[in-house]
Amino acid sequence: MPKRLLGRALTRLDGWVDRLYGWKWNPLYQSGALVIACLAVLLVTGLYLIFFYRIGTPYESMVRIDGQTWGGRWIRSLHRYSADAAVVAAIVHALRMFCQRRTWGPRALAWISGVFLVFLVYICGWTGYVMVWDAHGQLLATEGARLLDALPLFSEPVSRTFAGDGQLPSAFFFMNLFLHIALPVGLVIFLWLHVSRVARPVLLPPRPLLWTTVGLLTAAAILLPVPLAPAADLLRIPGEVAVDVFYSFWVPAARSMSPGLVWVAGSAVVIGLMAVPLLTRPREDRRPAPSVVSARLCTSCEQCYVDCPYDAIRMVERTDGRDGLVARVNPASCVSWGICAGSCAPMGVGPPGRTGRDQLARVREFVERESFGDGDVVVIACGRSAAGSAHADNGAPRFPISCAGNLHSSVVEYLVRAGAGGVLVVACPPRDCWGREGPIWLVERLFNEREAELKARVDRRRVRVAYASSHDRHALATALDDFTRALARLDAPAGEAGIEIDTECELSQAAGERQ
Amino acid sequence: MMDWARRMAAVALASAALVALVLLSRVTWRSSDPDAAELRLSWRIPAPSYRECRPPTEAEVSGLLPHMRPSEVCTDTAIPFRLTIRLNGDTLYSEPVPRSGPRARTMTIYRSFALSPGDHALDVALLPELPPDSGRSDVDAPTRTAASDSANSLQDLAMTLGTRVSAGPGDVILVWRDENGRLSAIGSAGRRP
Repeated sequence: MPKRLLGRALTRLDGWVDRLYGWKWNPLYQSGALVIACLAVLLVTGLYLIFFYRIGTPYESMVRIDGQTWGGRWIRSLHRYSADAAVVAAIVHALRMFCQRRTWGPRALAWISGVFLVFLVYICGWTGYVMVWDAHGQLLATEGARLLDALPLFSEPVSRTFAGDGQLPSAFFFMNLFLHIALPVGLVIFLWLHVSRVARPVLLPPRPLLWTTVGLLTAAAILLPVPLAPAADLLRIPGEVAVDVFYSFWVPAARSMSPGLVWVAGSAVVIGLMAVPLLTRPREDRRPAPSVVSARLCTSCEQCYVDCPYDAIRMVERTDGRDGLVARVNPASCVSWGICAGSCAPMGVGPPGRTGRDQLARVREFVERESFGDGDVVVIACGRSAAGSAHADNGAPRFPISCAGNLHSSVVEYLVRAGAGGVLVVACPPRDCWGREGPIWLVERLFNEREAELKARVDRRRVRVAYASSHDRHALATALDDFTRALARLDAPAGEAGIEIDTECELSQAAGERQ
Repeated sequence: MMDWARRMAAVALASAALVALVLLSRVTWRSSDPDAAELRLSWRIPAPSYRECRPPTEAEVSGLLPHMRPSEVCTDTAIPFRLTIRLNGDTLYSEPVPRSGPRARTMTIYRSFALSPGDHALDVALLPELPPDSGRSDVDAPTRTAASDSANSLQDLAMTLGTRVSAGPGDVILVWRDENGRLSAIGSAGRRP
C-alpha cells in the first residue's frame, strides 16, 4: 500500500514537472544520471581543495581556503552543495525504482549495489565533514566514536581520542583524508556493478540539464556560500551546531538513543534495504514469463540481441542443422519487457502472449470489434503512459500494449491499412521507460528504418508518437488535438479488406517447415 | 498554461528547490542543553600487577629436558583498582576499573558525567584493592614483586585528586594525568599548557 501511494505521488509529480520543464528536461527522470553529474562536480572541486588542505592544521587550512579572494569559499560551497544534491538525487532515484518495482530479479544487483553506493557516499560525506574540524565535524566525530565504542572491536574507547587531553594526532586527519579520497574509488567499482547488467547505460544527463544543474549549484555557492562554523573545541560541549540535514539527519535521533539501539536500528534499515529485491518480488505464478525465441523463425539478423536493454540475448551457434547463429534468451537477465518482440521482423521472439504474431492476432480482433471512421485516430496506449488508463483519450479507440518498445510496426501498418485516419502511439517519456529504451527504439522503427521497420507503403503522415507520463493528461489531450487537426488536412484514407502482413521470414519459415 | 507563466513557474520551482537545498544544508540544531556542563575523566596508565613465584614441583619438571627446566614458576596477578568520584561530598561514581589492551596490561579511565554549572568540590580517587584472600597490604614480600615500573607498595599505586572546579555553561572539566603523572583538572577557561 505505501508503495502504491508513493508511486501515485511520484507519477503525479512527474506530470506536473513534465508540464513545467517538458519530459526532455524533467530532472526526476534523470535522477540516476544527476547523481553521477554531482559526483563529477565533487571530484573536480575536491581536487582543487586538496591542494590547500593541511592535515596538521585542518581548521586553519579551511580558514585560509575560505579567505581566498577568488574561488576558495565558492568552490568549497559548490563541493558541499554538490554532495547534498547527490544525496537528494540518489533518494529520488531509489524511490522511483522502488515504486516502479524495478528492484527484483535481474535488477536486484543494481538495487543492492545502489545501497552500497549510498552507504559509501555517506561515509565519504562523514569523513569530509570531520576533515573540516569545525563544530559540526566535532559532533560527527564524537558521535561516531560513541557508536564505535559500543562494538567489541577496540580494546580501548575510541572516544578517548576526543577527550581533550592532548592535540589530536595528525594520523587521525590523515586517515580521514585517505578515506575521503579512497572511498570514491570504491564508488567507481560499485557504479560499474550498478550498471553492469544494462546495455548502453546513460551515465550523464542531457547537456542542457547537466550544465543547468552545475550552473544552479554554482550560483547557490556564490550567492549563498556555506559559512565556516566555529572551530572544534573538545573542551566545550557543542551547543548550537549548523548541521547538514542530508548527511547528519540521523544525529539528533542517535544522540537520544543508546549506541546499541542505534546499531540495531541502523542494521534493521540496512537489512530492510537489502531485502527489498526479495520483498518486492512477485509470487512465482504472477511473475511475467521471460522472452522465448523461435529458432525456426530466427533469421540470425541479431537485431533483438542489439536492442535488448538488459543484454539478455546472446547469439549462439545453431543446433538445428541450418547455418549461422540463433538468438538465445538468458531468462536470468530478461525483465520480460518485450522490447525484442518489436525488433523482430519475422516475429520470432518475445514474451509469451506478446510477440509480434500475438499482437497481430489481437489487432485483427480489435479492428473487427471497434468501428472507426475515416478521420478517427486510433490510440496505441503504452500501459505506463497517460493513455494507459481507460477513457483517458477522449473516446478514441484504444489499443493497449504493455510497452511502446514491445509494439511491432506491423500493428501500426495493419491499423492504417484497415482504414484508421491516423495512429497515435502514446508512450511514456523515453528517460522514464520502465523497459529503458522502448520509446527510443519505437521511433527508430517507425520513422528511421530500424529493423523491424514500418513498411514504406504506410503513409507516415498518419502515424505519430507522443510522450505523456501517466498523470500528464494535458500532454495526451494536446497531442491528440494536434494530430486530429493535422489529419483533417489529409485525404480520406482508403481502407483495405483481407489485409496480409509480410513477416519477412517466409523463406526461413518454408525452410524450417521442409525440415 | 501560457508559455510565460509556465517559464516563470519553472524558474520559481528550480529556485525554490535550490534554496531548500541550501537551507537544509545548514539547519541550526541545539545538540545539548545550553546550561549543561560536563565532567570528563580521561587517562591511561600501565596496569600494576604482582608476581608470585615458587619452586617447580617434581611433576612439573619431570617431563622436561634438563635445559628447559625453570628455576621457579611465576604467576602474574592483576591488582584490581576502584575509581571513586565524589562531587560536593556525594559519591557520583564508584566502580572497579576494567583492564584493557594486550594481555590486559593497561587501565584506561574514560568517563563523562553531566555537571551543573557553578563551583564544585571534586574528589577523584583511583585506589588499588587487593583481593580478600591475599591477606596482604603490600607487594614487596620476597615472593611477591610488583611488576609495575616503580611502585613497591599499594599506597604508591594510588592516584587521587581533591580540588575545587568551576564550570560555566557548555564547559567541560577534564580530569587527566599531567606530565608529572599526577591527576589534575582543567576546564575550558584553563587550557592545557
